[in-house]
Amino acid sequence: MWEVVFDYFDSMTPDQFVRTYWYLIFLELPRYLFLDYMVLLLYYLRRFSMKKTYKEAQYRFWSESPLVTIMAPGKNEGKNLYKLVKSLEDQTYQNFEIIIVDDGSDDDTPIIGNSLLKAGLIDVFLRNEVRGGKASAANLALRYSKGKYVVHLDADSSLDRNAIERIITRFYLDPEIGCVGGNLKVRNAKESMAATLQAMEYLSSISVGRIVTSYLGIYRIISGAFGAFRTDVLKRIGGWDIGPGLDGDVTQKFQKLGYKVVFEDRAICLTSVPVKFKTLTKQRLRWNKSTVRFRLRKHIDVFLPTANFKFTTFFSSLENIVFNVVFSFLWIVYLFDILWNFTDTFALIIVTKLAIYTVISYLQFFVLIALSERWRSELWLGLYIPLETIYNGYYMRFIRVMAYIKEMYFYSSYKDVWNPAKTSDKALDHGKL
Amino acid sequence: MNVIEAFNREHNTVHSENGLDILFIRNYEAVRISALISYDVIILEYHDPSGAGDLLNKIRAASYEDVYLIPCFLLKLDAQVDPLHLALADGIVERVSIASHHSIVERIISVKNDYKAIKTDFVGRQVVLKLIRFLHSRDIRLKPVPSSNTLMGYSFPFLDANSHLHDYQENIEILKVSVDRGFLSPHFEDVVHLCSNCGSGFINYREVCPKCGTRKHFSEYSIHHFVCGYVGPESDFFQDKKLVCPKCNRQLRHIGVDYDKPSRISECENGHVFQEPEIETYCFNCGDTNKLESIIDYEINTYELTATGVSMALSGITKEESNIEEIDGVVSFSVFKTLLKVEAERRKLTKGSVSVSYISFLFTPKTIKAHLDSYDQFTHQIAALVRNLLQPTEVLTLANDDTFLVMSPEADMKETKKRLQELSSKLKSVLQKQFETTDNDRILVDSFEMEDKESVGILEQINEHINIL
Repeated sequence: MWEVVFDYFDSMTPDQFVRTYWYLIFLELPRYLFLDYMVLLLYYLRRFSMKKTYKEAQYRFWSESPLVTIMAPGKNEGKNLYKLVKSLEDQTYQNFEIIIVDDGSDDDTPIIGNSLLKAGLIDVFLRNEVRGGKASAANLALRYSKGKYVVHLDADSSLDRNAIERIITRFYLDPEIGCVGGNLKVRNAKESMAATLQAMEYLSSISVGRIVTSYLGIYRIISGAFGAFRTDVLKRIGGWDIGPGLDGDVTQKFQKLGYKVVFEDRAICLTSVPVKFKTLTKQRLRWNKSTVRFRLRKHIDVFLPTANFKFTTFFSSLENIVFNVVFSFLWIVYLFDILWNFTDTFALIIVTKLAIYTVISYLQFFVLIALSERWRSELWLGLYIPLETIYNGYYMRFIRVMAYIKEMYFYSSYKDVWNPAKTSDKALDHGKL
Repeated sequence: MNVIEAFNREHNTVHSENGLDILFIRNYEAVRISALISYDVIILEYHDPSGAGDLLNKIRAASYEDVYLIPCFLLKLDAQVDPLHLALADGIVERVSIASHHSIVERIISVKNDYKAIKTDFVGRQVVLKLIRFLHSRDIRLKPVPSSNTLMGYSFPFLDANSHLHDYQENIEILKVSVDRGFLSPHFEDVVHLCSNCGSGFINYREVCPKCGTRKHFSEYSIHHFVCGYVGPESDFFQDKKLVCPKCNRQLRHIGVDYDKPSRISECENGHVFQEPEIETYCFNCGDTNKLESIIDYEINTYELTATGVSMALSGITKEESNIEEIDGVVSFSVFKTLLKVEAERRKLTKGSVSVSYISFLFTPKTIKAHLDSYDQFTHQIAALVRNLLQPTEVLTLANDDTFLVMSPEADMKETKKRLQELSSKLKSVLQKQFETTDNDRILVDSFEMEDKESVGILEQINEHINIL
C-alpha cells in the first residue's frame, strides 16, 4: 500500500501537486496555519511586552472596583445554577450582583432560583411565566442591572477563580473597548466522542481564531456563554435582538458604534457542550445560519460607503463571509473538482489530505498545549487529533454549507424552535431583523 | 297567658308564669347578682347592649349554680342582639313571657336542682365544672363566636365571663385541659392565625422587600416586545397613553400579537428588584413584627360534652382526691375553711390580725402538657416547695388545681405581702431549675386582711380575683 502512495507522489510534478491540493495550499495553509500562528506569536510577544501596562490596568480596575452585573438567563437551567453560583462565590473579584432570569422554565428552576435568592447566593431572581426567548430574558436582566459592566453567562458555565477579574481588567487597558469575550473550554469533554471533539475544537480553532481576530481588530462574536459588556453601551443599543445568532449581532452593533471588541484568553470559562452529534448538528446549523442572517442581511450596510463606514467592521464581516461562507462553497467546488478530474485517485487524495491535516494539527496542538494553563488535563485530547481532522475538515464544513443554503433560500432560522415562534414571526414580518 | 305583675322595684319587675318567678330587668344597675338566687328565670330588656352584656357576664361569672345557671332571656327591642350576648343568654323573647321557651327552662331548672344535691369533690379549675354544667344544663355545644373585640377573633363568651384576668390564653388552656381529660370533644370550625408573641389574631400581613424589608415598593407588569426583544416594566413603554417600545420606537397595539406580559416585577424604594415579596406580619396588639412562618395556626373548634363530661357534670367528681394533705402543714380546703372560721372567732376576741394570701400558678399549656400524666405529683411537689418556704405558723391549702391559699395568723400585712413576693420569686427560680418552666409560666400572689367578722368574706374577696370557689 505504501508503495502506491510513494509511486503516486513520486510521479507527481510540483504543478500537479498544486493542481491537486490547491484548496489546501492557497486557502487553508495560509489562513489557518501561517496567518494564525504568526499572529499568535505576535500576540504573545505583545502580551509579554505589555506586562507593565497590564499591571497598571489591573491597578486602575482594583482602585475603582466597579460593580459588575453577572447575568445568566435561561430556560430549565435550575440544575446548573448552584454550580454557577458557587464558582462565582470563589471569584477573586467580588463586587458583583448576580441576576438570574428564568425564561418560562417548566422544571424546578423557579424553586431553585428562589431558594438561592433566599439564601443570599444571588441578588435578583426574575421569572418570565411565559417563555420569550434568550434575548428577552437577557434584556430583562439588563433592564434591572446596576453594574458598570455586564457579564453574560450561560447557566451551565462555571468560571476560573480569576475569570471576572481578567475579563473586566481588559476594559481598563483601553477605554475604547466596548465588550470582551471570554475563553471557553469544555467541561464535559470526556462525556462522549462528540464532546471530546468539541473540546479539541474549542482549544484549537475557536480559541486561536478568536485570539487572532482579536489581535487584528476584527473579532466578531462575544459568546453568550461568557462575555463582558459596557452596560451603558449595551443599554444604548437596546440589549440583544432576537436570535438565533444574537451574540454575533450584539457584537456587530458595538463595532458599528466604534467600540473595540476584544478577546481575553486568560479569562476562562468551562461550559458544557452537546454530547450527541444530533444536538451538536442542530447547534452548529443554528450558529452558521446566523452568519447569513446577520452578516449578509441585517448588517449588510457595513459594506456600504455610508457616513458610518468603518474599516475594522468592514474587514470583520468580510473575513467572516470570505473564510466561512465563500471558503465553504469553494470546498464543495474543490470536492467536485477532484472527484471529476482525479476520479481514480480521489480516495488517495482524501486520505493524503487527512494525513497532512493530521500532521499540521499535531503541530498546532503541541504549540497550544505549551501555552495552555491546564495543559496536563488537556494532553489526552491529542489522541483524538486524527478524528478531529475529519470533524473539522468534513463534518463541520458540511454543516456550514447546509446552514448557509437553508438560511439563504428558506429563512430557516426564523422557524427555529430555539426561539419562540411569536418573536421569530414578528422578526420576519418586520424586515427580517 | 297568666302573667301577673307582683311588685315594681326601680323598673325591675317580678312576674309569675306557670309557677315560676321571672325577674324582668329593665334597670341593670339595680340588680344585685347574689339576689338573683331568688328567681327562677330572668328576662333582660335589651335596650342597652353594653349594659346588658355586662350584666350577663356577671351572672355567668357568679359562683353559685343557682345564679350562673339561671335561665336568662333577652327581650329584644330595637337594638340588634350582639351574638356574644346571645351566647350567654338562653334565647330571645318578644314579650315578657317564657311560653315559647318553656321546655328549655324546665330542663335547666330540673338539672340545676339535681346539681344542688351533689356534693362536689371537684378540685380542678372551678371554671371547667361551671362550663360543663352550663353546657349540660342546656344540652348545647360550646360554640365560638366571631368577635372583633377579642384578640383571637373568636370568643367563647361563657369562658370570657369566667376568665379572671380576661386572658384568652387561659381559655385556650381550659379548653385544652378539658379535651385532654375527656370532658369535651372538639369539632373543627376554623383556623385562626395568631401572633407568636402575644397570641393576637389582629395581624397585618405586609408585603416587604426581601432584601431591605421596606414596605414601600411598587410592582409593574413587564412587557416583552416581540419584534425587537426588549423587555422592561410597563412604565418604560408609556408615551402619551400609548405603548411605545423604547428600543425600536414601534407602537405596541395588540397584546399576544405585538407583545405580552410575561411577569410582574417589584422594585422597592432602595432599588431592590424582586418578584416575590416577603410576607411580614405586624401585630396590632403588641407591635411585634415577625416573619410569616412565626404565625401560630390555632384551630377553633365547637366543643361537645362527652359521656365523661356529662358524668362529671352530674357527679362533680373528676378524679381521685389528691392526698396533698399528707404533707405537714398542708390541710384540705374544708379544714382550711374551718380553721379560718376559728381564726375569725379568735380575732373577735383578741383583736388580732389574720391575713389570707393566694399563690396562683398560671402555667403555660406547654408546661401543663409536660406534666399532664403526673399532674397530681407535680402539684404535690409544688405544695411541698411552697410549704418549705412558709413560716411554721402558716396554714396552706390547695383551693383548686393551681391555686394555694395561705392563712397567716398574727402577721403584719405589709410584711406578709413583701414575703409573699419574695416567695414568688424564689418559687419561680426553683420551678425553672427543677421543672424547666419558663418566664411565661406565671405566679400570681396577693394577700388580704380579714376585715369583716365572717371568714367567708375574705374568701369571696379572693374569689373576685381568681375564682377559687
